[in-house]
Amino acid sequence: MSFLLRRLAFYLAAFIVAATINFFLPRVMPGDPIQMMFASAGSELSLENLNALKLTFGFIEAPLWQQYLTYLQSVFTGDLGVSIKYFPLPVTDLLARALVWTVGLMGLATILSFTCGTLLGALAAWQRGSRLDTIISMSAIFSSSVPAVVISLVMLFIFGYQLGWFPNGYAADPMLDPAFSAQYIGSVIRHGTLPMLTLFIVLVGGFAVTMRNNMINLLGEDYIVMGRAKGLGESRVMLWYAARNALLPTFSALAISIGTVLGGSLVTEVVFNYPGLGNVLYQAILARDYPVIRGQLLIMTGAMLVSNFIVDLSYVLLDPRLRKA
Amino acid sequence: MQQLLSGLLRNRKAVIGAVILLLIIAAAFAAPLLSQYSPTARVGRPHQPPSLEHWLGTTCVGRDVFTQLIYGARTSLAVGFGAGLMITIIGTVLGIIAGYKGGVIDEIINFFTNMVLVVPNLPLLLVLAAFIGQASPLVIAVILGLTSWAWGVRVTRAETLSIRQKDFIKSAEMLGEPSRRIMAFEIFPNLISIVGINFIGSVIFAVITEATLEFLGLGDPNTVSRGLCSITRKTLRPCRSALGGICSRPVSRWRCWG
Amino acid sequence: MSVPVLSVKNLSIDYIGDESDFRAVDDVSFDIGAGEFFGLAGESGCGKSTIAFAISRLHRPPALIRSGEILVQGRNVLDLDKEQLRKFRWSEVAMVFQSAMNSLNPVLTIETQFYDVLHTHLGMNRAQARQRAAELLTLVDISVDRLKSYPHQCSGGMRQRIVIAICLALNPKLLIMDEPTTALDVVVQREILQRIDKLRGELGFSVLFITHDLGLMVQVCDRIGVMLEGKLVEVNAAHDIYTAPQHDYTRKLWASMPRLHGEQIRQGAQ
Repeated sequence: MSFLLRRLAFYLAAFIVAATINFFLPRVMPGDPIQMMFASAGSELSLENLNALKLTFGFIEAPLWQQYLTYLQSVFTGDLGVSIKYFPLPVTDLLARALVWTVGLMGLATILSFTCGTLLGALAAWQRGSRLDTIISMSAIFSSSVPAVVISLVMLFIFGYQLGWFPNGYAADPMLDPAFSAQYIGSVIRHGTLPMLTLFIVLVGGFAVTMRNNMINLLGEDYIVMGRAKGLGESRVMLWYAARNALLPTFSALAISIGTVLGGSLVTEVVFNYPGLGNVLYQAILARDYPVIRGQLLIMTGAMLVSNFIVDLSYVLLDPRLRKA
Repeated sequence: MQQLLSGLLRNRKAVIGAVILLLIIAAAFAAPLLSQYSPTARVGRPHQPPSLEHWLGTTCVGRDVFTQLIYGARTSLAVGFGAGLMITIIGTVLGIIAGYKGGVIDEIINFFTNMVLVVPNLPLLLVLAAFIGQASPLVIAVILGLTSWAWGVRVTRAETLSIRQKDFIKSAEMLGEPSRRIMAFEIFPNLISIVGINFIGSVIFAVITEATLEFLGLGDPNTVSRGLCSITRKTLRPCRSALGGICSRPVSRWRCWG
Repeated sequence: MSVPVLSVKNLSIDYIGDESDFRAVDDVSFDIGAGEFFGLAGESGCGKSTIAFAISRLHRPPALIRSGEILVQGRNVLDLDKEQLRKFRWSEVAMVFQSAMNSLNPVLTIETQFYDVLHTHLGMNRAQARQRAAELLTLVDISVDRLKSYPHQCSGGMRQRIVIAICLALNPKLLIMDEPTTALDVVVQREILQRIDKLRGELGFSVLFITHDLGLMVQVCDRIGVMLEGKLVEVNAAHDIYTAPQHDYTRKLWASMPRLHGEQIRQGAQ
């Protein structure tokens, strides 16, 4: 348990640091931060609204530390200001809507690609040197070295434009109202397939390569030889003696690569015009919508921390040595 | 080094990869010789299909795609190697210090490493680029270098920890060598292979990330236009990015081989 | 002696190299009788572990059996097909591996590691397996509630005793111990060997004991074979190996060992 508590404390600290970076970012940039942040807002916002916005971000007539505290306060009370582009929509609302799509897309793609990747990697490691190993390793390296941008564009071009099998944008048919109907859910699935498939291809290779390397390192261990000596079935030894143990380092690699996952999903969303966090961030950057941009950084860090924590939790479940330690 | 070369020559996949990489580097260096056009000049009618004059056709404003490709490779490679070098240096130095010194210094470096690992990289880059406004390749390389060293520190630190236990370090300590000397001349040479892998991985990462940023239009936001050009942009940019992909493939083959 | 439990005949094993092969085991023949405690001694790299692995056909490429026969109770192990081999492993030949700390799967409970064997070979269900595992643990003096533990919760000596209990699960005819005690301290080491010797008396299996520690070997073995560079240079009763070593190498082995008590063995004229 102390392991998890330590991690939690670290995540809190990490979040505060991210918020701090976020606070200082506009202040260390060249030029007048207020001017810069709200330049594009000038014509659309009333003076009153503008002042409220400034207060949220700690731009008050006070010493820096007081500005900082004001800012932290609004962050921890969940007030990230309002969007300039979609005024007066609060940033938190805007991001919460996008977060749902990103979490769904990213979560499912991660789980699927991690499962498939580790299984393929385990298979390749178990039959290392065989033709199967060569095929798996080569395609894994290929898929992990082509940038997400290229894969998503190719997918979009072939399946979206040329073949027209899947829609080219949005998370669901904009004509439909969100509801728990078969039609709406079907539309969500059809819209999600291409981005999901893209993200899957981007991620699966890396997991397979990591798993293969980790497992090959383990194959000489006595407990695996003993598993074979025990006369157990091939699949039992491969899965429960070799792969099960190689899964542990692969899982910690997953924790590190969540950032990559997020980056990949960001690019995919932009290409497929999928209304997740990545796309919102992209649109906000184009529109110079600074409150949204800053909120993004926080919420993405938050998403990273939560996913890291989930990985930690699962790791504790996977490794008996951590459970009662 | 000689061993490395002979091993490389025996591995056909590595040789193919190296040849492709060398070709790309050569093309980038020799860009003005390979193409008579300027990458930013309007040299033909827009939207031309590939022809003898324009090997890969022209863009929406009539620039030569092939020229853009080889000039683009210059930027990609420069940013990649620059940022890769920076990432490797920071990662190696901090990793060795954390692993060898231990104690409070280790704790502090470790904290910041974990921190950088949990703050998402690409979004941070996007946000920074958005605030800076106009991110030149140099700025992108510097930001990449400053935000991506964490993985290297982790690996280097772990390896340093195990080397620190070895007898030759103990004996160097007994002889009273200053710790700076031990880190630079006793530990570092034993980390060369890890540093190499770190460097190659970082270059790949930097090339891909730079291409991604360019694609998202954050390289120079002034030219971001979402009008007629957007589709062409979407088809042109990936060419450059694909180049990044091609570059990175042989390099990652090396990584596997090593 | 009737049919020997293990009979190795003219066994040769090569390690396939890029340019030339390395002969790890060269024309080795020996028998182990029922209930016999047989020792195989020699320096590291002399091929003794390679033989141990080959008996259950656990050797992996680049190791390759070039010629010879391995008969376990009269049946040639090298002729078994995949399924026969799987059934043969553990039910006739069980094995204790070199490192006590590392031969139990760290992510499975002790109970599951018993269950794996009992279920695969005897088709036992969980409850039956638990019952049998409890009996086996009692044999090696380990409390039954250890069944729910994971390997990391047990000490090194305890783990090695658990491995031995798992070895006995199917009443094998032969127990191979490949340097089973090198990772343990001297007291635990002695205790484990005494226990094996006692169990051998009760259950009647034979033992192939592999170590480089000739002194330890002489104390527990009936007969000893000494290996040098892949060849079996001397096989004799333990007492004779101790008092009247025939081969030069055996004598050198003795000479290299510090003697704290007992008569110093004179080195023969060379």
